[in-house]
Amino acid sequence: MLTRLYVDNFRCLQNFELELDPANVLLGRNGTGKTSVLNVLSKIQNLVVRGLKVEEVLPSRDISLNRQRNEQRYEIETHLDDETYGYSLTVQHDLSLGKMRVWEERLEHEGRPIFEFKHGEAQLYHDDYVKGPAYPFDWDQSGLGSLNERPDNQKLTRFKKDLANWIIVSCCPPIMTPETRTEDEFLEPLMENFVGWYRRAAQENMSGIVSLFEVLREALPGFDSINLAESGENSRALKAIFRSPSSELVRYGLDQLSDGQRALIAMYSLTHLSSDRRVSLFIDEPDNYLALGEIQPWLAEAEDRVGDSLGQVVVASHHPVTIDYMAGASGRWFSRDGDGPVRVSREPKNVVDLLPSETMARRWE
Amino acid sequence: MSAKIVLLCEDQSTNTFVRRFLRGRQFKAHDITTPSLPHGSQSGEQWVRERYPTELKAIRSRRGAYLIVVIDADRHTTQQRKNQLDEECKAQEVPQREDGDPVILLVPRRNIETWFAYLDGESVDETEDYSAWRSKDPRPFAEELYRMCHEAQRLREPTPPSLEESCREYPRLQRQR
Repeated sequence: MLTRLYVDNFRCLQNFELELDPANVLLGRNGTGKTSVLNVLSKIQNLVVRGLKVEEVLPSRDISLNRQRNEQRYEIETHLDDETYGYSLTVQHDLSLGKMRVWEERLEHEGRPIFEFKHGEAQLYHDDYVKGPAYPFDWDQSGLGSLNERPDNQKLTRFKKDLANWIIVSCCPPIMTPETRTEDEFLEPLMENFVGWYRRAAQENMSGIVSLFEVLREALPGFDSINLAESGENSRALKAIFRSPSSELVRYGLDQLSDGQRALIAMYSLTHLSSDRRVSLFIDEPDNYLALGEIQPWLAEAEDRVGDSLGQVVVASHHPVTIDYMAGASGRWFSRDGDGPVRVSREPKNVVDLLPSETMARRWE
Repeated sequence: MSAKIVLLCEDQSTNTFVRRFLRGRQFKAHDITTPSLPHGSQSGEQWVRERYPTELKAIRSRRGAYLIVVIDADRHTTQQRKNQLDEECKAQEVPQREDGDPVILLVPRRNIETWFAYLDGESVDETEDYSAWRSKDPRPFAEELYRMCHEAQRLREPTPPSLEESCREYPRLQRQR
């Protein structure tokens, strides 16, 4: 579970700090950095887990425009099974050449280093915190991202697995592909490869499938089940099976469902098939496409699973149902003075006797 | 799927507690809706009390649905708090709760945290403050209460009187489901 994020010099996030609980809603006007927070998490995941080059992930155009400095700083703290990890990354940009490099990278476990990279040299540590070999390393990518699992780096590997279990998405049903040839470990940011992800997740979590179908029967009138039908060599198409009033079973392809129906299937799949306490869900606008009466049940289901079969749920939302349901206990209020840096607080600046959504609709927060 | 239960309560912790308890009775997320609290100077207790007549009126017009109200007694007795709810109905010109109304009134004394402490195995005194339980995950306490009600068929003694009294409200829900 991600408990803290610090970002400096990334878009509107300057000297920005965010503390998170197992369930949170990120609130604030447009342009106050909610989506940027999710973007940062996605970028850290791409560097450390997928091993992408820093120039692919952190282009210089993401430096805060009103800052003259050429260094960006990212820090995260994660917590799982009473273990705390602290990760930090400094990226240096050469704005004249349009180049960038990892300047410093460090991973700590319980406050003690287990990996360091500084000015071109990587320092490894064993699980007992004793220094291992040091060696020159490529400045163009995360040194942590390049390390493979070994018997004596289990702590470091556990951290990377935690990051691999972050799901950072915004649900966009119109661009979901109805068929897949692949079994995808990662979801694309707009869930366009949802069927590929579902194909893999469904195989890994049979009990999740049972509860997924149960909840979808509540949410979608007539829903019976889902199957992945053969649709060519190695290809599978997602079919949602509905029961007609005369009890006939009718199979619909994903592209034959409404956007709202696709969204419900995708959103409940996230909560019910991500059954691992290491999974953190970060969802931008989870309420998009959902009918008014479907939002609170999804939030309640998601919150209910946190701590049992899910590690964390963080949503960014403008929707009044989401805001009113979550803001009181779990709100993180983002604000910004003009084009200045983003600030975040646990309460709105001005508290009035209104529903949180009404306060926001009047821009009184 | 329309909501079968309107859950009117003071805070998120109580919402989570009641929802988890009801899950044992096969009520699902879609069956329950929770009106949201305003931000502000108003206490959760005041908000529940003032909202109660509106929800009471609404539930009477909705066949098959229930209103569950959870409101702390605080420094009052449970009866005093129930009387205050009746007075609020009178002030808003809504007939007060009658025996046939699908309304369950749960009044923890002194607070819901007193029940949490009891369900956590503590011996409790309803005049004491158990705010240390405010930050705890309420779901295990709901599961313990469910176990006592439905598996053991009895509450551990000594039982907080406000919990015993609330349990007498419970059959109103049982009759329908």
